[in-house]
Amino acid sequence: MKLKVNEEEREVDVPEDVPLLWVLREELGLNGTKFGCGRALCGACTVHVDGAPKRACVTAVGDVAGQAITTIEGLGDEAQLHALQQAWMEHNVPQCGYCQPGQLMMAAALLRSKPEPTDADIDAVMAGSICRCGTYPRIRKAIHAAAKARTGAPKGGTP
Amino acid sequence: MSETKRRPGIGRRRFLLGMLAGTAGLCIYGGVRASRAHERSVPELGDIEGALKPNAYVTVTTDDRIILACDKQEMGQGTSTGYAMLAAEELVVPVERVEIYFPDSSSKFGTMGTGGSGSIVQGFVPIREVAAATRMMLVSAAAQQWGVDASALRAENGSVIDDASGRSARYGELVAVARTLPVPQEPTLKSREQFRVIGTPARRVDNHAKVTGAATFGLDITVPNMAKAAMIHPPRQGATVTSIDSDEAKQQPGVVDVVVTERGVGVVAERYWQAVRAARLVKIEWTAGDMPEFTSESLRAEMAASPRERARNALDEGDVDKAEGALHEAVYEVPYLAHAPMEPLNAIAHITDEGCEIWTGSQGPTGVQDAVALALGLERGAVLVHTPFLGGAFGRRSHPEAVLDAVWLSKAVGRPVQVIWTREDDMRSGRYRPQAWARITGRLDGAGAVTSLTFDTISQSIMAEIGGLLGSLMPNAIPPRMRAWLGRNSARLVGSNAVVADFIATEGATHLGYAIPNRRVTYMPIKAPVSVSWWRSVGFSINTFVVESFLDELAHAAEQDPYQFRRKMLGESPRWLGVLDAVAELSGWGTRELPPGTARGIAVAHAFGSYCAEVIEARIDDGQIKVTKVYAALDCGLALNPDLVESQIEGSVIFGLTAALWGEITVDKGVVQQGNFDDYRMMRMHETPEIVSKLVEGAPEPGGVGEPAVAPLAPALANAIFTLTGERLRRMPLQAEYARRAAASPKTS
Ligand code: FES
Ligand code: FES
Repeated sequence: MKLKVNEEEREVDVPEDVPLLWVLREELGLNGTKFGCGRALCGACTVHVDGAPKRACVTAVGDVAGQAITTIEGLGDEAQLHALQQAWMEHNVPQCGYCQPGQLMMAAALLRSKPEPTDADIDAVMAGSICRCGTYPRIRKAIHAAAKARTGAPKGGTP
Repeated sequence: MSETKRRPGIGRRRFLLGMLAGTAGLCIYGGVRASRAHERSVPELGDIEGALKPNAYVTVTTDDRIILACDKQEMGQGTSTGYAMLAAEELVVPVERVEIYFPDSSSKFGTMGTGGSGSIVQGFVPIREVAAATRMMLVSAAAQQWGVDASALRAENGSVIDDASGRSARYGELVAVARTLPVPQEPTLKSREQFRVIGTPARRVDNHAKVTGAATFGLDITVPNMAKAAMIHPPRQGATVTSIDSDEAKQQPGVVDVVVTERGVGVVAERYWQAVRAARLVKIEWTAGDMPEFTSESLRAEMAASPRERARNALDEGDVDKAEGALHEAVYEVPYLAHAPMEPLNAIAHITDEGCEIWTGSQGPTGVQDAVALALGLERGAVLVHTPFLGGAFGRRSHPEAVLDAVWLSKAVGRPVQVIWTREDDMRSGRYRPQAWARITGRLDGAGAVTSLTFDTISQSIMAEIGGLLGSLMPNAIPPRMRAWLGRNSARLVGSNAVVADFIATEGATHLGYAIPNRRVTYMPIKAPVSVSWWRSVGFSINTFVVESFLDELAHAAEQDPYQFRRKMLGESPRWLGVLDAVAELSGWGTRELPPGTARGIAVAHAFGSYCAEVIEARIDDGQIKVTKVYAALDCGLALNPDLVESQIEGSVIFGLTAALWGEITVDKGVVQQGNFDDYRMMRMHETPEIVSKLVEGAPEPGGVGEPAVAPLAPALANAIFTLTGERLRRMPLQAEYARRAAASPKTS
């Protein structure tokens, strides 16, 4: 089966109903996507499929073959981290860090649909992502900061 | 060597953990110990040819890398950033210059373990000392090369500078000479006025790894030829396999073997998803287990009816029997709680001819060494433990159950095996904050002063269950079986209550700042087939709820304001008073009107060497308790990194509120009823209140940070609910108790 992950074509040989989470982790060595509950209850495994957030632990790999899958490893690149990743670092968001790939992928999806989210927008979208360390107040601040940094940036300049 | 003094008021458990730092401190300059000759090791980040490595912690390379071994585990609390800051301070470099790694298990670091909010307290002096000693060697090397006195030179941003001549040399250039110099035995530390890093809100050193997905947790590690395993744990504690049919499972693609272990059945496969699928096909019959009829509900009744003859005094001051005044009495209860760290427990074990290698996110690598050594009949040093980042711990990762699963399976299949517990394994397979019952009484005299306070509690003894861990505090020189035996028996002794009361069970009730002339605290252990453990803030998470709720009851009975009522009793306890006053001011207690339908509650605690007071504002929406605001004042002495201290307060508030509102593990016929986040509710973004915190500095050295702010939350919330509704909630979780009250009494609904 052919997968398109972080803009690369990858070939995997697994049954179609294997959860995408374990294909990413075990077949493709992409360990940034985390296992937290296995039942779409915590958000730790969130990835993007054609730009929309999906819980990889309950997504059959066969259902997303050929679609564009983005994981935390593909959110930003070394030279240019995503505005959210930068804001996360500026606000000292991570504690244990285990939930943060999922939080970041969820927040990135939020900013795509709502470039300047309100607190209510953040509540609605981020409610599905558990952080046992309790980093929510900083996640909220960092999302606002990233939104500001992006929309406030001069348009049309070199990226 | 360590100058960290034991301060009065620090609980004994902290002293116990404090000894660990002492042990490490002794080895800092001591060189290789005899017992290390047999210790397994592999090269680590800090082992670099030609580098300056004057102690177990610091490495400076010829190409100017500065590398620090952080011998405390990083579970989110920020210790690795704190240690980098301490080293950066004395090496006079920016924090970002310090590369951190988590060293493998080694007696170089004494007993390795992280808990009791103790890492910064324990490392505050020793980590600066090892860094200062290294800096002094680099300065001396420059002095020798330039033929000047070392006192004429200074270190700055990774270089040694001679102001008189304008010469300077990078640390890397000085390494070769510095290596030949003696290690200073009494390094001089910067004074408080000279601090440039300590006290700043530095960025976390692990931020980049944790926002890019590059941070390595136990779950992310792969070793060559490794198989993966899913566990089928017994449904009831102590149940063992009577019959098993694994034929069909063994036929499944990728399955290596299905193995009956001492604690369940392991399904080993090439891939984890294959193991999970095959596990569903295994048919097992189990024995009844330790107490098949046990329910947490019947334990409540048993505790309430327990005769007190085995109770032992943990504190007896004045004479409570002679105290005068009107008697008030109440009974409080708390349930079992799971830790539910975000990363489910997991471990890799690889058994070889030389011993065993383990990769796991553990709070206690030495304890893991001991548990594995005992299981395999090895010496401690034959077990090598690698520690990655921990995806949350909260006490749960002090225990080696998942490691032993991996050890048994690796032994059976002759390959390295990674065991990954599911969320359901994690929630159902043991280690909970104990269920507890407490009766508290107090007397109020005619002037509304408290003349006596008694506190009698019953719970399972955590001390009695951690024998193996106590054994791990003992040196390598004692043979493993002897260590285990001594550990178990000293734990049993404490757990039996025969000599002293388990001090963990009464912490939060014993050391109070209030001037109450007559006080007695007793503890009685009880047995139940549920394994218990430390849970963030431990005894305080139970007893502060009882004491601070009950003081609120007394305040209302005396018709006094709960803040002023406490205040009057804290005249002799300046740090208690300091945080209480600070939180009152911060929250506008008595000065700022609240919107109708909202009320506030207050509570204060002294835990892990620090002091914390909290005010909670809450209302009831549609029968649901809604916390709108939390104010916290924390006196942790010197705040090494105020921003990270505040992030620990935020985390503690959310952790504590989650438990206070909803947290409950129940057991029915020996089976834990909760399994995942749908029935063990976690606070989420939209439920999180605004959190306003303030740091108070009541002492020049640091106190604990990771746990103290958990303690006052539950009582502050219960006190707010009383003011709001007139219902005194004496049983956690508060939402369920409130719902029971509302159903019983129409006035609350
Ligand atoms: S692991 Fe997928 S939502 Fe929790
Ligand atoms: S940072 Fe630990 S679970 Fe979110």
